[in-house]
Amino acid sequence: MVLVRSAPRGSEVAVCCQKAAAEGVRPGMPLVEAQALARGLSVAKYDPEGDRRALVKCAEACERFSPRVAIEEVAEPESLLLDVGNLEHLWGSEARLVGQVKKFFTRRGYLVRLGVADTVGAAWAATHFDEALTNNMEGAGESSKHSSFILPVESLRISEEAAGLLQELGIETVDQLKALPREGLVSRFGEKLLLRLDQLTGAGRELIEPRRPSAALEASHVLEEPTADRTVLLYVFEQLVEQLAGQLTSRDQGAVLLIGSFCSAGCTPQQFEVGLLQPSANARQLLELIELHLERVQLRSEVDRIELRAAVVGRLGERQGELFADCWPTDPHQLAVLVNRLGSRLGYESVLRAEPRASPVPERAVKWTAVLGKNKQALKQVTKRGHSSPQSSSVSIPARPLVLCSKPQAIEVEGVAPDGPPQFVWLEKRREQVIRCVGPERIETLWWRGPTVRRDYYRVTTESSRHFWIFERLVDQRWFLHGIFE
Amino acid sequence: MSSVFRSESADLSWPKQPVPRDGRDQLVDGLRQQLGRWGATKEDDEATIFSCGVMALDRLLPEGGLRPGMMIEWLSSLSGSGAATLGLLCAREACREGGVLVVVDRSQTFYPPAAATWGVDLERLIVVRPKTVRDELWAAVQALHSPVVAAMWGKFERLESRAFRRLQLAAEAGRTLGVLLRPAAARGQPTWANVRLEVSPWSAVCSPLHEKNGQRTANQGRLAQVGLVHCRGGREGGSVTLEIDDVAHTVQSDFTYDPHPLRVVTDLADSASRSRSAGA
Repeated sequence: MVLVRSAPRGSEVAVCCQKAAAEGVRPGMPLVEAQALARGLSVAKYDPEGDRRALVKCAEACERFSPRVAIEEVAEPESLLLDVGNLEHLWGSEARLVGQVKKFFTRRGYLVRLGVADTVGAAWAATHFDEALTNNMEGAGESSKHSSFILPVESLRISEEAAGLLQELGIETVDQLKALPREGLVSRFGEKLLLRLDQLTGAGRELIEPRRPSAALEASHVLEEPTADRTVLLYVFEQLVEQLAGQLTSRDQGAVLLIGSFCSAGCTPQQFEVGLLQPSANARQLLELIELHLERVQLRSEVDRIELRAAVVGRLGERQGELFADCWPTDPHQLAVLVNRLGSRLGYESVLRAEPRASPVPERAVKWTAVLGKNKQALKQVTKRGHSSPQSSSVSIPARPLVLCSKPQAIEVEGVAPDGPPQFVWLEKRREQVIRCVGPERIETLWWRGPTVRRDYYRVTTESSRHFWIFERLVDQRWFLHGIFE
Repeated sequence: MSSVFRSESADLSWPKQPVPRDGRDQLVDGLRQQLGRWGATKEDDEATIFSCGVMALDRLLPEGGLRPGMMIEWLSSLSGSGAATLGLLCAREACREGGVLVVVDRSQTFYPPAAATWGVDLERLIVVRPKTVRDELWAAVQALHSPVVAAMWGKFERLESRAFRRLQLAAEAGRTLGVLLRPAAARGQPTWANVRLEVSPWSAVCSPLHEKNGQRTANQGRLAQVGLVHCRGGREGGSVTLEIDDVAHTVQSDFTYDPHPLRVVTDLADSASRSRSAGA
């Protein structure tokens, strides 16, 4: 059987069944050619909108199996995603749940492939590329979860172009891809490929956004008299947090992002956000974070209504990745508490992690990422790259100063030797003699890595026994202070 | 029949006989240690002493190393003295058994790749960038108080006694090593740190020479003299000269130096004199 769609040169095959494919029929092939290859071919019109409607109905029906059912986010979806975590106790076992789902669809005339895995990516890969699964549909649940089949790069849910390019380079399997340095992959294929790889392995997070959103988790309180008294406001928040925590607990969920609003008559609501590293329904903890935020909020006017909403929620006990997993001697929950507190008072952008980057330019050799993001997708990814010893994470780069100026500072120099260092430097309005100097260390970038950088760096020791990192910009022979060896 | 036991530490009676000068020093040292023990908490006694990463510095420290919950204050008059690097090594050692390093960096100049070259694990590093002095202190207290933080490293220009006490209490409660970098002007101010060390750059003219493959080569290291200015429960005074090598990422004390230094930079005439000589 084939489904056909209109094309400029007549009808062409959009989708074909396995039997037709075995006879040489391929998507994109003219219908006439397909009919020549496979005699007795059944033809039907390809209707993506109709398919989507049917898939939505299937998703609604699957809500009997899981409260979190989503449709895969692609132009022409064909997969349903069910979050079956913590549901074993309702069905006896995971295999039994899978059996029930399969029975449900078979009764309705659907041929389905089911995969259960620890990540969405792995489950998707299993349903699409596990041959054992194709041949043995009955054992779907268990076989896919523990399978060790070789995954092709297409199983990463990447574009056909990206998969084709990888194959041209001789990279055909996910294992081959994992063996390559990550930095090189980003520059050649972009962040999407790594994201998909991490989502497959579990290093990256992927949430199942339910197709049918649950009722909003929010609470509000109208004040009898407008007020700006923080004690009163805090008392109201205490009540609202209690209500919200109750709602969250009843759903076995925790807040990841809270949005508070101060409403005043005639004014636009003043909002603030509280992010959490891991879902929490602990009223005391939530209130503490709100209190820290209130210290920073400058109220524009007196408040007559307060709202509190859990904008992003997650399952209780779920963590955003494995932040510093196995690295601490005590309860990992404590780290989330610390990060939440710091982020709540200082701002999310002030609590950072540093990721080394393979760039020769010092200011580009580190990427700052917020430990606690605040975007709608919950938190920015905090990935675990294994527990490495301090020595193993040491980056093999030459001497670098502990203090690096955020921007190189132009300095005056005197007595510059041809292609060499200066004899005197002006630093902090003082003329200092250079008594020792090590260099140059030439740092330059190629044109395809952004604005060209050509610098000669020197480590200089001045007469006051201070150690600086200066460079000459080779384009215009100007000198800059870039760091201090402290 | 009854027995009376007197513990050694409770014996505070004056010695019956005059104590010889050497013995007096020993007695004073013993009393200092007793005071230090009384000042310490129960957890302190149980804590494991660990190396600060530099053996020569360990010998200078009263307990022969550092312990969790301790505050170590580094004073330096000039930027570039090496205090920040030495303090970072202490923090690194504190994180060896696990835990997170929190760097409180209000000036936003801390450069993690440099820390990584000194062996700091960036995957266990959190950099906090408060915008105000008040937030800086608050963040430091939070970090020190947290049981998952093994060490807190930060520069604190001004620190009132009460604020310092808060930091110390937080460090003790969280059993976190506090590494405070302070200006030398703070030397006259009271301290709540267990150890206060002053770092002064040693004259770079005394360029140390190393034996390498049988040849003496000029080293690229920085020289710093570290003096023990104050310590709780120990004898202050004493100093050690260290060489910080930013290339090999080592700190050593057993180096030799030549009073007649080998100049790495060839003596250069300044541009003005050169042009004059050219004109002549």
